[in-house]
Amino acid sequence: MADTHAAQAAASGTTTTGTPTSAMSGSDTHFGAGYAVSAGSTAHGAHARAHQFDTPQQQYAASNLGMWIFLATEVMTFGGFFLAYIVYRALYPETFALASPHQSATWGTINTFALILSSLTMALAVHAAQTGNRRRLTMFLGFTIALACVFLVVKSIEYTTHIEENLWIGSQNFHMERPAGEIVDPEAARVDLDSTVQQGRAKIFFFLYWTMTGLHGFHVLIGIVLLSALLINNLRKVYSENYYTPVEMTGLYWHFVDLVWIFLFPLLYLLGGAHWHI
Amino acid sequence: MATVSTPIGEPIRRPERRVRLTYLNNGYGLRSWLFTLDHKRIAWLYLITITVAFMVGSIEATLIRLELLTPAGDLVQAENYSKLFTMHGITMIFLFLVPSIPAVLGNFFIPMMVGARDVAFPRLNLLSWYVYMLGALFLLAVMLLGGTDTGWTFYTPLSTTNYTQNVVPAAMGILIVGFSSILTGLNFLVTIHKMRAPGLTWFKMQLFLWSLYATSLIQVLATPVLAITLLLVAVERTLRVGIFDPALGGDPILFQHMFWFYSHPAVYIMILPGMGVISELISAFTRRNVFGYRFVAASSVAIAIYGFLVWGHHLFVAGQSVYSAMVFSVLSFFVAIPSAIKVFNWTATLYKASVWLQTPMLYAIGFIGLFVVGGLTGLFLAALATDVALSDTYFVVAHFHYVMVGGMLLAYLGGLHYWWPKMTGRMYPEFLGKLAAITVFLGFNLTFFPQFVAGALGMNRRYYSYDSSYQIYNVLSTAGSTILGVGFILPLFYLTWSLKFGKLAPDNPWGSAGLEWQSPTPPPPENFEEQPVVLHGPHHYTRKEVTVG
Amino acid sequence: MAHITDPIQRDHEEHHVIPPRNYVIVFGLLVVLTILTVLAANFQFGGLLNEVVALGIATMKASLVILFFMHVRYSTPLLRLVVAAGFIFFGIMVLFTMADFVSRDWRSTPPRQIVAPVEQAPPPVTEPTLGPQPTQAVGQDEVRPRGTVNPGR
Repeated sequence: MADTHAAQAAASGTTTTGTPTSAMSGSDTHFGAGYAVSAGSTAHGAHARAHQFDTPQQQYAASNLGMWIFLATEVMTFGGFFLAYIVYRALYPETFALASPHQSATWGTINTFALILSSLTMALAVHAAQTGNRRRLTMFLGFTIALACVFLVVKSIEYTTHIEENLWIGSQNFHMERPAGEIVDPEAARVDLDSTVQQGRAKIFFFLYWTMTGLHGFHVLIGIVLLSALLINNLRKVYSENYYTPVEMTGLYWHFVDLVWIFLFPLLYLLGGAHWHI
Repeated sequence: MATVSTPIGEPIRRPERRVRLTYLNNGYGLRSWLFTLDHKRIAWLYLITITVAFMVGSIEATLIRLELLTPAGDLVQAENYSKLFTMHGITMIFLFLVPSIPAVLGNFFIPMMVGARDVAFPRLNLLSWYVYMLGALFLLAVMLLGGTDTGWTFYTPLSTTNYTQNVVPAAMGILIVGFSSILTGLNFLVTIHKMRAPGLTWFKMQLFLWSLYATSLIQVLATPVLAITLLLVAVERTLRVGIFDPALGGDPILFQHMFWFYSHPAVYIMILPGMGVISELISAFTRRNVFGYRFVAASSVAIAIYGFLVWGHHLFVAGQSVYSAMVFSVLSFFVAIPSAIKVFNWTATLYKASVWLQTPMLYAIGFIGLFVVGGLTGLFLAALATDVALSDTYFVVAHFHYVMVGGMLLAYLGGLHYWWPKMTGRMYPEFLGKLAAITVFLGFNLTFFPQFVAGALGMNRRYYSYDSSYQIYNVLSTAGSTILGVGFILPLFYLTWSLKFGKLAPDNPWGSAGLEWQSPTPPPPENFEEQPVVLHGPHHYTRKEVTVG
Repeated sequence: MAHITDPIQRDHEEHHVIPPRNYVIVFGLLVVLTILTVLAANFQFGGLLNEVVALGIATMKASLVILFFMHVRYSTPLLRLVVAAGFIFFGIMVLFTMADFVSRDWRSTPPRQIVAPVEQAPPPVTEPTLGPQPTQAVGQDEVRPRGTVNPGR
């Protein structure tokens, strides 16, 4: 064992590379070729630093990067659905144009406003955390949770209507009627919507509708849980202007949920024209 | 920066302690292992579980080979044969190959190679093992229920019809295992980005780190698509919707696009880590930095990213547009470039080097040869015209087994032997090690080379019976698999034996320059007793020979 | 040891405190764009322009959220790369998959006749192509052979 070390250390002494070994060797302990030990760099930082990090800054940078990589995986997750949507919309544009008016632009617009408003309150909550204002943080987190709940309530009203209209894809009597009002697609008028082929295509649209909004709704639900956890922690005075990484990370997540909806809204609600009904 | 001053050339003397605290004696009992946050212990959890998975997959493979000994269906009939090869594929790919090197060797050595105390998110790391176990339980349940029979690819519309069984639990199991893979990849990416020791710049990183960085990129970006694809299949099957069913307006080829968007890059999840291990082995046992280090490093990332552009070569005979197929064919040929960069640089490193033929090095040399065969036969399959003839024959089976077993599994075994002293503090018996390495190499070639011939002659894959003219190749193959089996059982026994009875290992038995070897053996709970600072490039050796300690 | 690059210090990231006023301005823009996208939906632009307008506005809204609410405008190049990576790889997936779908029937389909009345639509004429073809859906109202993309209506 000792022989190995000696040989290694000797090896490092005879290097001819451009690295500053020889210059450093007086002051650094070498062990093995090319590595030195520095003492004192493990000084404990401020509070809330996990043992594997050197500084709170490093921990924050790691959390931030980790969160963004997670969001990149989320982009790909929803990306699979969007790919399927793009393919089938390109194949069956007229059926899709006939299907999207079944989504009420009224509810869709309300929900869009709810989500972008909640994004604003979330951003303001992060700002309150950054400035160490606990009261405002509590308030804005509360607003965000409330708006998320509004979103889910509206979504469940929509789901109920869809089930009543036989648009649930698991239903035996799935049947898509021709929507009232004008369809923004010249070919849509020619489509015989009662044929099995067209009903199959309509079912593909609603398959995508239910799964995409379902997965998005699931994300909203998770968001509510996370935000509530933040709220409870804030009431227990966990966060301060020195430590609020969880607030910021949850904020990123929440903005992402908003982001997905920004694309879902036009694709699922508007591409046959905005139809206002409740 | 305050530094400890010791005369140069003298080894560090660690404080004398009767029993040094290591990650192994840092707590005993099942609880201290099952709830550990130490990446080294989590690596052991993975090691044990993937070994079990490998054994299950091997038993399935053995049954397949036994059935194929004769042209008729003697041992199992068509239905059970389909279940056997499906479960063999699922077990080996999702439960063994994908987590093998990253989750075991990567988990253990990435933090050590970057000079960190742990991965960036230790709790996430433990969680990913539990998620893996949950997915594995689903797949175990599928096996107990009688298995699924769609092939590991779950091609629609077969997988959404009533002819197949247990598709939904199998798909859910793979989806869950996929999440474990995502979490591991995410953790490694952040660890490599944010946890590097002072002085460890990107081009001072060891090549193992580079290859695992590239692997993690794929895990993070491709796996979510697999999850969604399998989710769609499960929903379609449950609710009888036709998103991939042509009778209902769906397109089964969309499924294949989405599936291979993950699964082709996943092929690189199953070879890149192996390439990283081989770079380490070749460097350590030739006492040289790998020739063209920067190119080898960059080619890992290039393979990872480029791997996303070639998935269509799995769809050549599926009904994909001919024009699209041409583009995918041309693009697929270009994957040969970064792969060849690696192979040429490894051989250039070996050139005129004094190679130290220890067990890990035998595996490394075997890897280069087998990977070249596996890679070059891939070009036949990337060429449109030859693929039409070779598609779904045993040529394909032989091709990917040369890459996955001849490549990844050999690299995994080589890496396991190389790092075994560091992981356990014990040496494995060298003679048995060499014997096993040679047995595996011979057995492997005897198993899979005849399959190239059978495939080129037209023997179809995934059938339980075949024309009797192919029997000679199948007899050879089954005979080879017996030898291969012996080669796998040997390490299982002597490595387990060495845990208790092996010679005590020195800190650095190979005289390796890697940062992970600079910590005591076995490593303390936080890997290094003091924060290392990196002054040199990776794999830094001088001409002076280092003898074994 | 000043000359030793410390990756941790090099990648040092800062928290950015943005005045709440900016958030409110961004919110205002998002509201305006939402109204715009709803208004544009009932307008027939022709061709693929409806999709382009809807997705264009959605992309603008998404960029606002990413850049300002999610602070990417003030973050390190690494984080911007991660953000870009998600969208780039999604783009690759869509690009290559759609490349297959739009070029699949170039060889086998005669010039498209969208205008053909539904009842009298002739069965699609197809030459034999390489490889197995997906089963044709059975139905009377095939406007065009499946697999054909409608390039602009």
